[in-house]
Amino acid sequence: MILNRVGTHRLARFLTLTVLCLLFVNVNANDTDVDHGARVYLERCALCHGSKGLGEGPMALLVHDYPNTSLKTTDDPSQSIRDIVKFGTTLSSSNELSPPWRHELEASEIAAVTAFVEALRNDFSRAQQILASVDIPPERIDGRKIYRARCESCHGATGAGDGRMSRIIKNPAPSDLTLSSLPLEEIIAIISSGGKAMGRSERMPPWGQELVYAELISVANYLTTLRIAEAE
Amino acid sequence: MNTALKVLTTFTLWFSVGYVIADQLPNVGQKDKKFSVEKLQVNVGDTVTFTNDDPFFHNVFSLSPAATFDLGSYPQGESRDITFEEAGEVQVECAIHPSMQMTIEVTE
Repeated sequence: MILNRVGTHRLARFLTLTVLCLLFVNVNANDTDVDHGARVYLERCALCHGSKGLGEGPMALLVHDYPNTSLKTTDDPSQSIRDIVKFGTTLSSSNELSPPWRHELEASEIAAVTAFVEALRNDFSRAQQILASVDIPPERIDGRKIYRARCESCHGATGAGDGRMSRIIKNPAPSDLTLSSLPLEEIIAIISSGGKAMGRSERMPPWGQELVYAELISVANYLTTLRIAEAE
Repeated sequence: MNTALKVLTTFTLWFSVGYVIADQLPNVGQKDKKFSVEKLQVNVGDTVTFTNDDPFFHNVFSLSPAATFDLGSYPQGESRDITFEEAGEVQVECAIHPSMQMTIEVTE
């Protein structure tokens, strides 16, 4: 009788531990999916949806009358996120700008990016923390497109400080980036923290609030290619 | 003789400049995840057609100052057109296949 009771307790303890282990593994698997999905998202989806998922991708910012690409809202709740990622424009409810990714991404990548978009909708703050920690090589991000969408209106197409906003931004005018000789780390700091925090023009926004770190590096790298002195 | 000279001049330009000079409505193919030409020269007001010859979707877009557009995603056999209104260099890409890139030089 006592042995039976001891056996029952051991069995109960064993089952409890097993369930806890399974739950732990499952949570970690989901976290792994979301982390992986954030990386796929930044490489494949941020061009239109933006690096924060708020519809602020270079395509959406630059192309006239582009549809809202924010992922915080759902146009058609009846469609699963996975199906939208997988089938895109071939779904009757999707617009023709949305690519079908089923031929381009592995099934595991589609599952991961789906998990990430779900995380973005269910817990936006957590999704932003994950995006901020994604380790993605800056060369996988096109700094030129970010410059065009975020910087060109002030600094101009060639970086000469003659963008259309330069007509109203004076004293100081937007920097002529072609004459810059600042080291890369300082450029990144200015872009990230903004002009005011770096003792420069208050008109220069702190882009660290809008862009992920790899984007800051890639746009800083692009700025160095605009330098006249280095090109000559 | 005159015709032979024109042909010779055209071929010389093709090979020396490295551009395809459009004398009719240019059609750029999308095959094996590549554009059929790397460079194309057109005039302001010309329309370029992009045709998907691959058995999967392609897209065509540009964020260049001279032409900013997204022609969407479309399957094999379908085409999309874009008319160029401004002179300048236009970098054309596919949003689905980032390695697909070409340049269109739009001249007055």
